[in-house]
Amino acid sequence: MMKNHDLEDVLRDALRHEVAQELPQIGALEERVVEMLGDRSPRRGLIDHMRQMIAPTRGGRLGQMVVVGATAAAFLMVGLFLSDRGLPLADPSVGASGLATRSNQEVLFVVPAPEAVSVAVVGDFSNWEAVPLADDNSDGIWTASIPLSPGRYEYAFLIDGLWRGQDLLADEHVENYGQFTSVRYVSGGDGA
Amino acid sequence: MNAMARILVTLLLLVGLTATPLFGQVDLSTYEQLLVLLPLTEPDRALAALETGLSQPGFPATQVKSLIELLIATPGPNESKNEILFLLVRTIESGYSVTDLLPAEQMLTEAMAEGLPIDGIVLEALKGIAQRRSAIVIEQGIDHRLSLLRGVRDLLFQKSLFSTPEGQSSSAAGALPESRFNALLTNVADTISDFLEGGGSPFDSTVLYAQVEDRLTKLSQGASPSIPASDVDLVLERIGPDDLKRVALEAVS
Repeated sequence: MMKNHDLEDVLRDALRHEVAQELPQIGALEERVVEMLGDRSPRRGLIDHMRQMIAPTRGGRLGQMVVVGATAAAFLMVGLFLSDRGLPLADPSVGASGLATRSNQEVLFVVPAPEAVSVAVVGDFSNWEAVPLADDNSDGIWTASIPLSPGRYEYAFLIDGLWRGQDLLADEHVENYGQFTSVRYVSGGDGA
Repeated sequence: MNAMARILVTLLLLVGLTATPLFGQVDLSTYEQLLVLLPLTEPDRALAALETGLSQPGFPATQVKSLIELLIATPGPNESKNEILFLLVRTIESGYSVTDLLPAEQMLTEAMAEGLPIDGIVLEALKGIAQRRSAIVIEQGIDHRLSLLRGVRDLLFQKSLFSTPEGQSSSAAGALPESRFNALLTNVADTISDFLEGGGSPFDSTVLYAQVEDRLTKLSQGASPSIPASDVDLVLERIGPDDLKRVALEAVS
């Protein structure tokens, strides 16, 4: 069974490839990921298969705009798919959003922002102070893993200082002060 | 008890405001001596922020001193005191007018003296600062959420749900340990606040009730050790959509 971090690797690899190719074609990424998950081939094979499927075609700014939305949609689709199938998310220690929550309560925050100079997450877990996300590979995918105890957490991303409160990986969204904020529930794992 | 606490807080505030001019100027060492009496997680940062504040024209040094003295003298959880002072620190660091937000911090301190769990409201204010909302909007938000917190607390009392000191058992069905009672209170009030701020109408009480039920249920399913499923069942049995509508209407009126 594919584990969460394997899935993250697959998605990151695919997205990195897309970005390296100037984001040519990602519109159907969610279908391809879902198809791959149904295949159940070994992890390395999945990555290779994924790379093969995402063949570079044409680049351009429009493609870059499309990829941001499509990438987020892909993450959401995979999350929904896994929830429905009871695959890795069946682990009760995983948060409600599941995809980005590991059993040790290391919560992964991911946001595609290919043209950003700085990305941070702010949330009640940090007293709404910025925690920087990293893009070590310059692939446009910014991540941070933050250890969180069980609870309900509100957060938003700051992309070049601009508030982005509607993370598609969130369990829900709330609106305060006229802006949206994302919410994740982190489970303690015992279901108590 | 609550009335006594309020009187005490008011007296302390008056003493602080009137005594300082008699005994001289407020400087950094004044703050330094006071801060050691508070359970701060980042005392150096607090002092640095206050030093920055003192260097700014119009900084209300005396009122800030009074607020710190009030925090020291007011009974309440250390975490809450730390949060309120942190809000002051963030106010200074973020370039907000301390004069504008000081009344909100005093309101929070008074609410803490009442025994209200104010930490979530402080976090909302910190969120407002992160969003660069105006001081008046942040203050109104604090005021609004405090009203809701009081309204929900009174509603729970009316429904015979109340808190008991930690470790003290009670045979009454509605008696909950303080941490569990406060968790319910905070989350019910917070859900109503979010609902209203998100454009919801108090008259859509069925939707509001469903949102309260949804949040409490999610929290009881492993996301909050302070909210067991039995407490969720208890509160949902005793309050209904009409109760929430009444509380929400009082908050917006």
